[in-house]
Amino acid sequence: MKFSVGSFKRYWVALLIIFLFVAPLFVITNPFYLHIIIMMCINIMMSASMWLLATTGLISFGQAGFMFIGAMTSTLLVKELGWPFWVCIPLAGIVPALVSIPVGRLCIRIKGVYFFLVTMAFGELVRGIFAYFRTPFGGWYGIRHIPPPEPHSLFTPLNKVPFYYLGMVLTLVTCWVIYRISRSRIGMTLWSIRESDMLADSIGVNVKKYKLQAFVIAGFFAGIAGTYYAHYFCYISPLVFTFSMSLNTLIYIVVGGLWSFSGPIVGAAVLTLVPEFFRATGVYQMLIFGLILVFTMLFIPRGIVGLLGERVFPLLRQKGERTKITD
Amino acid sequence: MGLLEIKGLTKTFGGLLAVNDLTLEIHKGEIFGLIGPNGAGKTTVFNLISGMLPCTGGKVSYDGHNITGLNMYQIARKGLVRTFQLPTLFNNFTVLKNMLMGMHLHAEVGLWRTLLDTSYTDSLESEILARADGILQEVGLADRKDELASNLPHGHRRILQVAISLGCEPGLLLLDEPMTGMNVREVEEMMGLIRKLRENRGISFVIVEHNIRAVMGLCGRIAVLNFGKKIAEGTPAEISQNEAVIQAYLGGSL
Repeated sequence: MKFSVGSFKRYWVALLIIFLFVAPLFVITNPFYLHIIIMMCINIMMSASMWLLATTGLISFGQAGFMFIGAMTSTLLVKELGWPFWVCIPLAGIVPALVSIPVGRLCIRIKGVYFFLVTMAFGELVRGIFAYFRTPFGGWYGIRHIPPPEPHSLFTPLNKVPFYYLGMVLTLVTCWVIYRISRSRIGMTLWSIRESDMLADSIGVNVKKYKLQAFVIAGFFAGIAGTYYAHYFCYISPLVFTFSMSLNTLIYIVVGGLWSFSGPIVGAAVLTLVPEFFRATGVYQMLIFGLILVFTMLFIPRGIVGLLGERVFPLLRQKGERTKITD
Repeated sequence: MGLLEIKGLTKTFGGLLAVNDLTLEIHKGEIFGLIGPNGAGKTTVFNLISGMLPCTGGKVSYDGHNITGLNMYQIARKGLVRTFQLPTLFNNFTVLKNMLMGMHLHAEVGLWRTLLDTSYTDSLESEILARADGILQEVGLADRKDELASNLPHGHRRILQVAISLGCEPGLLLLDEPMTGMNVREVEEMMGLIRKLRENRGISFVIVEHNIRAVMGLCGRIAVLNFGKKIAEGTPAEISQNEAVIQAYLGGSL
């Protein structure tokens, strides 16, 4: 029987998605578990969008800033202006995307470590601005009593299941878009910029345009993750969307693997889930997080997915089937 | 009127005058050689022409258009492509994928189209794939197309460099030391490839090269640079007799 990794992956992914949609009805009824999966959704949205930018070679440390802008946009529109949540979701992506255009234009001129620092500065700038103005941004106290999505009878604080399904849908849309882009000509061009932006430039690639495009897309989906966060937790403040959150997103990508799309997904899922097993250890919970990161950097630099791709899948493959590294 | 006209090209890096008032004209169908000792400014000239560095002074025009001050990708779109001194490739891509990237100018698709119009992108990509295969056949790399570029031996990397630049359908190729690090047989192959490309595709060439036998055998005209200044220009026979050139570069009679 011929075994193909591609169809194996597709089959299991489809199965997983179906399971996740059906699970809350029968299998996973404990609200704590649902909460973990909701957190996974948020983290996956963040890491997948940041990953697309990272394929260009740009590691942005300001993603939490865009997430905050998205959260603030829909919070203010719903709370102050009374707009319906469902209208505000796309706006929560569009506003940070618009902000990311001039920010990106400035940052993209710079490379490497300096880009990282400038985007980190941006993240802190967003926090600073929202923290400084008590009205309308809530200052350091943040904004409480953020209404959940309509219908309010469905999205009550007691029932996580509708939030679960909303999260699944948002995550699937995010992943579909990022996946399609990464597998397209645009995605290949973004990788080529990471490989050698000089060579890409010399064959007609408008490097700045592509970098900016990835930057804006990352900002858009960070905003969507932000609005989902805001209307689930019903509270946002500058203490939430910190540099730490951007760092965590990067760690998800590093541990999962930069080299393929499933990397950030697996990384976010694993690093949301595994620390939960150690919750009982109390203060040592984050230790496991750090240990996983160090272990990854030392022994599996291509991440979990890279390890699977290089060691596990070839064992399952039939002889004679070609292996492509970057695919 | 020449294909590439360079008038008074000058470049200073702070106090260092790297290119000093260079004037050249490259005709269509030529293979033009640019030689000179190390540090003479040859690669800097390429960087200036191709838009990688801004000029301090002078004017460059290609095919009648003024390209001074344009970005590298804009100049590539007009048909002027350069290769790099080091074998610059997309190392983690396969040979075929490198070639597919080379076809970028013909394969660009906007974001919305990419997400929504799969039939268009699929048919475009298969057309691009066919053309990429064709170019790899032409340069002789077709049998290695699924290999990682980083695994290629040096000679094949150079050829792949040229192949990638062919994807842009250039009218003029600036080759920066294409034969460095090659043995005699590989040099012959590269020379044959350059001649073939000129004949079949009508591409003109400007070649920076240190391999004098290759330069003399390949080029119709040669310019010699020393300390950023053009010290001689002419046919290979004229250059090999030129006193100034012999003194500066060849270090003795040929």
